[in-house]
Amino acid sequence: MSIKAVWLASLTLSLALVLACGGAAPAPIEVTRVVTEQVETPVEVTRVVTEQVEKSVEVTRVVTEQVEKEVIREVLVVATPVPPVESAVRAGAPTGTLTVSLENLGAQTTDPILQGRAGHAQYQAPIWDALLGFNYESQYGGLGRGVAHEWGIDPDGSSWTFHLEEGLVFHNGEPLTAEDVKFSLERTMFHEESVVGDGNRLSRQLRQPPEQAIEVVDDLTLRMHTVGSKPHFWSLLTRAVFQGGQIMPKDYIEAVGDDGFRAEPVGSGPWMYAGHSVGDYFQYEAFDKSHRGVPHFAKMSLLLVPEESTKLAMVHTGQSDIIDLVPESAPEVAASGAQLTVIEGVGMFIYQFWGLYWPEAQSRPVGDVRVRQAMSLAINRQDIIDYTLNGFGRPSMPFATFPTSVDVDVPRWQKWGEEALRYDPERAKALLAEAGYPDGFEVTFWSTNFSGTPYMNDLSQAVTGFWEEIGIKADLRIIEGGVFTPMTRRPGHDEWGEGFNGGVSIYRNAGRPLPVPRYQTTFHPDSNHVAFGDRDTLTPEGKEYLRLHEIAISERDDEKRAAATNAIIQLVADQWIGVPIVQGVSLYASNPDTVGRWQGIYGRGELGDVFHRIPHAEGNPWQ
Amino acid sequence: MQKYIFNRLLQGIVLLFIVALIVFALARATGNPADLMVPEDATEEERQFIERNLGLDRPYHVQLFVFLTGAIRGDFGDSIVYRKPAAELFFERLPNTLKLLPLSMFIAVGVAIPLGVVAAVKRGTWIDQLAGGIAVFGVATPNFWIAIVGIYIFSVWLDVLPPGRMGGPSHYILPALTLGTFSIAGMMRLIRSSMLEVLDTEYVKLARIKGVQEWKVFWKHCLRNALIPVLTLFGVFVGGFVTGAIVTETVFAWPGIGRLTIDAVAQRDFPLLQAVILLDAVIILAVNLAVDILYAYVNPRIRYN
Repeated sequence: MSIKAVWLASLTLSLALVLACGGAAPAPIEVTRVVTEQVETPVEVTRVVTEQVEKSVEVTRVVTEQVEKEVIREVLVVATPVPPVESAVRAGAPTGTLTVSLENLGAQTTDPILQGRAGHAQYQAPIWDALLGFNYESQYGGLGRGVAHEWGIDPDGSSWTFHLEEGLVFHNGEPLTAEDVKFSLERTMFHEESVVGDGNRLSRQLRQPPEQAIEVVDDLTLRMHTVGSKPHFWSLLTRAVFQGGQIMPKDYIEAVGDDGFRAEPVGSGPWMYAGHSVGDYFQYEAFDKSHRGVPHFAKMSLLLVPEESTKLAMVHTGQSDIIDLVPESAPEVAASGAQLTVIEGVGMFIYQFWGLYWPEAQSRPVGDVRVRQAMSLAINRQDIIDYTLNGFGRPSMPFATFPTSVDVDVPRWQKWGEEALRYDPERAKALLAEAGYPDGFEVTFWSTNFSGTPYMNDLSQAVTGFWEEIGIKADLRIIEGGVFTPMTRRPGHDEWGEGFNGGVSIYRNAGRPLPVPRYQTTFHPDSNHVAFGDRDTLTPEGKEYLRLHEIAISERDDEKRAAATNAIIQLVADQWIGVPIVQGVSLYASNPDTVGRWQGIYGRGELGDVFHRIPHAEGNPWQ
Repeated sequence: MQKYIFNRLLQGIVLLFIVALIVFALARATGNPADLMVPEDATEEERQFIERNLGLDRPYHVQLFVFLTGAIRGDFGDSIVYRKPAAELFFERLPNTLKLLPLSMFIAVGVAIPLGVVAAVKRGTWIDQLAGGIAVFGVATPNFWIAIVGIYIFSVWLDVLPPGRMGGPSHYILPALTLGTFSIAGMMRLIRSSMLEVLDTEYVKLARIKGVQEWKVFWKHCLRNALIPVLTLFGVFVGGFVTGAIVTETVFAWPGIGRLTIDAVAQRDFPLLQAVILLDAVIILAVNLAVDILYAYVNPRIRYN
């Protein structure tokens, strides 16, 4: 069945269900200019209807899942009707306290501009909304309405217009307007204390000077002018990608100052700040006017508990309702009767070759692409999933590519993953022999455990074990994360023999729906890793990559942009320089005595945008 | 005595200066905190953006000057990660660690002294051997393991004690037991050997000849003198408890300065690391000075000139 047919069927069914639901559905809203222009694309029509019936109909959900690849892109340009805020998640007043113990709470700051890493999505996301949010209805998460309910590129191609939802208020009762959005983005970009990388990226994508690039059209409308065409500009304004676009109250901050704001932080999210102690906990109270919905629990505590065994004991004894955990503990936890929640698509573990563009690398075994392919074929990824990750890993697609990826031919690359990332030691040995290394060779493999994934060294050991089976002796060097990361960066390791040059290392990719920036980090000649060389040493593949990259980041035509993105993926896949091992998952255990079944958001391992949706127990007692 | 204390204070200041220089240099030798504050796939530009905002792009000698002049005023700068004054973070956490101290020391002293005395008095018997076994167990067993086993037995299995975090009186038992256990062994062995030495002295023999009851000989005449060398060790343990409860505080999610130290190290939080180590050094110097002074009062034969 074609996509179009699916959409049409979905439209018919959904309309019928809307009629059947009678007054339960929100009143249809006026379709905007943008929608009218795009209405020939079936995706958008169905999206509108899907939103109108909310999540009440199973049939609509199935259809939505079938067109999962279109979800992110269509949201970019289509007005999304507003569901009734109060009933979006639950009915009835919040009660009780939700206690969550986590291994890491990041910097534990009470100002969005002071946290630069993923911890923000755990403890800050409950308080602050982003300009764009998540699509809670899609199996694959991705982009959805945030403070803005409608947005898109203007016809001139170099500006974006955002329409804010009407009636939103901050926790202190002040209305949330376009002035707050402008203030927040500028604060993120220009405040001298800001450590938010997205702020830096945003300032480079906005027309210069960037402080004049954000235009408040009216209280609920905002226009941002970019440097040329930036079709992925939205990605800097949402936690669905990383951290950008968090909205703070302008009048309040101007009145109380930075220190006052940090002492009594105010946002517009479903949880109000109620106190915190650095190194110990964050406390929240439910807010009943958030566009994300009203939490089921009246209060929430996030506790910092670094030791896994302690967390397990806490969820078992009822001191904690939810804990995060690593794959090693998961089978035991599941067997004990705890409710296990698996969040898929949060990242990918890879291994990566360094400095292959140097002339010295050409005489090394790893300088031969056949050798690199052989090293991939030697790895039994299913064994790694089954034994190293206790079943809590997934087969991988190409480098930094996920089912959520934008501008990517997902079925094509899923198929590629099944075929190219197979376990075939015989073919691996044949390739080694063909390359002139039938007895194998020696190589240095650098490994570390990055924060949040304390099993990366186990993966490295598994990989080097498989290599040994085809005669490759990997000298596994496990080093501390703080030493590892600087070794991967340029400048600082600009000569052959410095950093990891000539060796291999483990690495990871976050499960973000936009692959191009991640490719840029590793393969762009101005990047950290310069896997294809820098401007002076760029390989032919690097030159081709650079050409495709420019198209992938600026081409307005969807098809051309997607073609360039897919070509980049193919180019990198063929070189076997950044090679996927497996996809990782995030794991949480819940006490079923106190917490009902809940789901995370695909690709976002943290729960800051999920806590308000976690229900009370369904009455399934601890076994 | 006053001159002695004055000299010790002067030495302490010199020592703190040297510690400050070493901490400053070693902290930076381990890497740049900006590397740990940006995501792994951040661009070099983003990293430099954060370096600039944190002042990490300034020359080392400028950073050192800022650090030393601030430290003299008690200003150690703001934590790079937590964005709060480093000294404030330290003094917020110090009481939490100090709260564990009395019970830990009570457990350590309460077990080590009777065990050490009995082991000395019953030298060569099965009791002595048992005490020796306990000492070996205490020294050889990692705190981490004791803590985990304690949680398993008392929290998960018996469900009588909470597995972690600060709270009511019951929250203190397992962390204090873990901290105390490690000290029992060393303290017990020292008391035993010290007791054996005292038991062999002339005044003890005289007391026995005069017909003083055995328990009085042991607990009154011998123990008082045997405790003098233990006092030194006690000072070391107190310093160690305050500054080194890293494992215990991590396992029990106890927000003390042990956890603060490990966080500062792991995140390359230079100002915080410098503050924690320097203030730790001040505490250890103060405790050692106090012990030395106490030593003179406890043992009138000792006089500092």
